[in-house]
Amino acid sequence: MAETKTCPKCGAELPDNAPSGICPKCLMLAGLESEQEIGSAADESDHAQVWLRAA
Amino acid sequence: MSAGHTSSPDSRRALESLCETYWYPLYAYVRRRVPDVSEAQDLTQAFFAELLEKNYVGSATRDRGRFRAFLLTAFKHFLSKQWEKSKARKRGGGRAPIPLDFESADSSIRIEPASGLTAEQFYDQQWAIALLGQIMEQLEAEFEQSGKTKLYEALKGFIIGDNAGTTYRQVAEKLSMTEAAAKKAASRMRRRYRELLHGEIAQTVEGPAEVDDEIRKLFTTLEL
Repeated sequence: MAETKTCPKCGAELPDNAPSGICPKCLMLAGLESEQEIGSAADESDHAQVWLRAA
Repeated sequence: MSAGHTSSPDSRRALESLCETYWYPLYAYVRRRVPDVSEAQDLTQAFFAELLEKNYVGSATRDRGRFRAFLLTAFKHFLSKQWEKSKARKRGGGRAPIPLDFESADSSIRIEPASGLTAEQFYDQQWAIALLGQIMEQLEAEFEQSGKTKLYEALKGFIIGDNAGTTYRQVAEKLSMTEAAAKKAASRMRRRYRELLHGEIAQTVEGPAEVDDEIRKLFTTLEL
């Protein structure tokens, strides 16, 4: 049975074609975050906060 | 959108580059709509042949908005025409305009509709993943050219944040550097990643002001 890989940051299951094996959702979000935000955003709730600030 | 400017001397090259990056989302879309794999491959290949030969995108003015939406609309129109004419097996004049690695594509992802996404949502998701894959390839190539492949491999997970499944201390020990140096290198990598991402997306939208909006839209598709 194939091993299911999950994102160490958000916990989502990674798709088979995850870019360089990294969570695409978190990668996309990293494109919006500032250096300070990306260093401190540790879980899904922080994702939402970053999202609201960016929108 | 440089690929849409017929006056630009680099427009065709830009279009070819975009097609090489984003052919897969279109293939994923048509695989959701066409049960026969060969037919889906033929349609994808034929569309890109027509796209490049007739310079479809040359008429893509700023009113047409994002290249992502434009490409899907053009593909849908192409599919309608092909199906109406019952020429779905037409093969783009017998030659492939760009090398499309269908075998790899079919083996690397589950295209069958198991997730409940519509074909359009699946297209957008695969577009986002293709875009990110392109950026990570560029980033890796830059590190490789600088002789820093090991550094890239050790730090790439930190692009999404410090919670990368490993620690800076572990990376520092592995690469015989200080923890502070590892953290600084990761910060530089993240900055470069964002530059590449913004630069790539800027090629597919109407202007720099739309880049963040496109990132948010693509993020939303990945949450589905």
